[in-house]
Amino acid sequence: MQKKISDILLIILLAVLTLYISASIVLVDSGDISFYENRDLSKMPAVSKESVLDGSFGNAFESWASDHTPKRDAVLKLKAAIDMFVLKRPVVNDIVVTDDILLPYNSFNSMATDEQQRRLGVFIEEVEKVQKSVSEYGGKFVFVTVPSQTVYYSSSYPAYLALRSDVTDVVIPRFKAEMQRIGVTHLDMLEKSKDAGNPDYMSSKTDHHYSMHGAVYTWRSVVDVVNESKGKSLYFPDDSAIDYTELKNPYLGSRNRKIMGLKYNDERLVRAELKEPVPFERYNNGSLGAPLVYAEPEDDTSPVAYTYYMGGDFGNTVIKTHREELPDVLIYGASFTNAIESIAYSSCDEMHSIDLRSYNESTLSEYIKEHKPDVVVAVFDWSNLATLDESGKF
Amino acid sequence: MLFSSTTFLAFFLPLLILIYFAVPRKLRSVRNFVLLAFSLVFYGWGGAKYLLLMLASIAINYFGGVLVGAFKSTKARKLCLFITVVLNLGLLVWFKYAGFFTEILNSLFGGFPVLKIALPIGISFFTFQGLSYVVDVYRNEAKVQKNPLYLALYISLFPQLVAGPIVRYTTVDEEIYTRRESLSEFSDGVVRFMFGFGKKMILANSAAEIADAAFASQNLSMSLSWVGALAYTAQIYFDFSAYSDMAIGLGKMFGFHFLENFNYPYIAKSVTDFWRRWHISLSTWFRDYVYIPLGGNRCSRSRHILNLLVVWGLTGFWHGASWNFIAWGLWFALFLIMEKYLFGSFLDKHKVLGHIYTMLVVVFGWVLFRAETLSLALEYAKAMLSMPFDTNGQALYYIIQYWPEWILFILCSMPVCRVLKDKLSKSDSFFAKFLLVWGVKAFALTVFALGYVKLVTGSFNPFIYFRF
Repeated sequence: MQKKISDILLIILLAVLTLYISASIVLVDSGDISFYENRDLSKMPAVSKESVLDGSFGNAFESWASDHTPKRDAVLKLKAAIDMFVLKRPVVNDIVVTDDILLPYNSFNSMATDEQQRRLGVFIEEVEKVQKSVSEYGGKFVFVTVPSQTVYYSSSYPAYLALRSDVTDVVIPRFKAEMQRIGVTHLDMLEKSKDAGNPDYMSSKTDHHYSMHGAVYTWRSVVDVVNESKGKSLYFPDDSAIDYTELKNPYLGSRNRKIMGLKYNDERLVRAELKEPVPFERYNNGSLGAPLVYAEPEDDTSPVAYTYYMGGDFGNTVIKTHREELPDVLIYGASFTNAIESIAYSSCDEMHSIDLRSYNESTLSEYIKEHKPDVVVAVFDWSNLATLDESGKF
Repeated sequence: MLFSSTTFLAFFLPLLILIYFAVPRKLRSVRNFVLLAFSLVFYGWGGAKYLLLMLASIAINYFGGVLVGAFKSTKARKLCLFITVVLNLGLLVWFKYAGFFTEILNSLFGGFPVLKIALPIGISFFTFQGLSYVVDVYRNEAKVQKNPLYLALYISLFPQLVAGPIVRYTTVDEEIYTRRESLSEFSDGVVRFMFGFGKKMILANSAAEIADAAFASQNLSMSLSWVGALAYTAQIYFDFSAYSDMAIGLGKMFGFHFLENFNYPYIAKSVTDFWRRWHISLSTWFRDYVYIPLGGNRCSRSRHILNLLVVWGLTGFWHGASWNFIAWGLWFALFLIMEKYLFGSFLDKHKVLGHIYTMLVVVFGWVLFRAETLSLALEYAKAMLSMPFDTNGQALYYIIQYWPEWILFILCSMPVCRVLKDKLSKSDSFFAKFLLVWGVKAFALTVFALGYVKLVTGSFNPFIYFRF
């Protein structure tokens, strides 16, 4: 009798759960984007004769069903929580979880050295093209390398984990030598940080970017280098003229995001504003936008991400301050430029920004030729120099 | 379609259960038709074009069986059997081995076009099932199935279609007509399925992550090679036995009783014992349809050795169209022969030593099995035997990162649950009875829930035996 009752209860329980799951997948709108995974969720595939015959419909259906499983985020959080707090795994969702810092897990299989060298060679050639384009009209070009977390916090990794020594041993020395050879002004923030005692603000404990203080320090270093040479000087006041405001909102850094925001540390995003504000117009991909450089959250409690700076990645942003006595600046690179741009616009007449991952209107050289900015600043972190993932079209 | 997929769990299976059990039990043929239709959808989900192959296989075996059964003369029956076997094997050779053979011809004579043909999932399994049916009809061990839909149901039945166990027609012959689905068996089947699902998602997939990393490593140290080999040893067992668990559980839900396919092979005390516990349906298939017809062990020693080499070479070859699979089969043949003629009795008397020896043979065998080519397998094995023992960071990472899984790999390789269940069954206490009834279900639900969490959170879900 007991078995019969238990059999019935089991089947009822499973029937209810299954009905809930299948009905939710089909009927409930779970949105188009996975916030924590930072990607689009799969859409319900269209049925076609070809897709049914070759099985691609079945695969796509499974992707869609998996992506729209009810309470998916809750399940993802549960798994991450079990891994971190119960099983105490050292790596959770490709994030090395230590007591006070979240670091990227580096694959043990790094790229073969010759392939790394080849990619670095291609990248250097592209930098050389930019150098040539800028030199043709007498502009200034500064290439800035900022430290990635792996390089900056290498001592925080457990001894048995890989440290991307292919970057420290292969990429860094060669890149420095090549920049010298082709005559590019290279500003290495890793070296500058070492000289300054490796301040925490040059990296982050929960994100792969630096903090706002790190961005300001980097930009100030750029300004110093640019102003050493002839021509229009960039304007940038000292720290006493800048207000730093720490946001109350929890900071959902890229590392934190991967572990579903389960481990907030004390880190907060910081807003930097000149005490004497500089009015400006902002154009995003050619269209006039709101004159803002910070994407303010609706309240004090919602998590904020690095997209707070400049409202995230746009292919092309132009900020005009109408101060012709100052130079025009073009800043290009990947997302490390965003925090810099939030303050750098105040240093120039026009600030142009190109995100190489999403700008497709022209090549970088064509853009430079068209706008002839007085100063061109490239900002890359060491890990990305030889991957060509974010190099775009030079 | 995979059992461990949202499509199967949330849509296919519930819909099948709903429609199947909505049909009155007395309409057995309608219920069978529902099962057949869903089985064909299950197979066609991965590519409807492959359904034609399955239907061709069904047709070959149907007509083969009918013709073998129709003729009285042995010569005619043998001829029909021969043609059916050739057609069956022809399909298998074309889709699975044509590329391998043309590569050999190309390397020997040059200029030969190397064929690259997509391997339909499960072809090795359903071909062997079809063959076993026709041969059993020829041997008068099975009755001719005159209803093509019933034969189609036998061959295409979705629980065991793509990864076994290889079900003999005689096992399910009567059940096709007269099985009785019951609440108790349905529930038992569900529990078995849930355990299999959890085994696959929690154990097999985790082991796969470790093994894949080790076998892809550019810096293969001794420690990492052992970590990888042991992980693969876990992966292949839990992956395959999980699939068998799910297949047996699903069969039971619909009234079918498939035979067990694994019996805790990693507690074996000899290689001979190992093969009585591993993929039992395949080894018994080769025993009954190849080994015994060749003469088995009822012949001279040299002939017996030859028979073993042939059977195990074919067993290896069945697993994959590659020299390393053949080498894998022959690797076991070597030890089976040595146990039979040299040190089998020694192993019987020294069980601990026998177990260690067996596991070493099995683990090295899996390296042959897993590696992409024979030369890579040899390189890998060389790393395992290299000295000195090093403290490789990657090996340490995979041990620390997966520490709970390593413990479970060991525990779940042993018949802990079986021993516990036996002890509880012998006890009269209320607590023991309670645990047997409610505890098992609660445990199964927990395992299933954890497996479901892994399903939702993972995209890493390979099934090893889908290459066959």
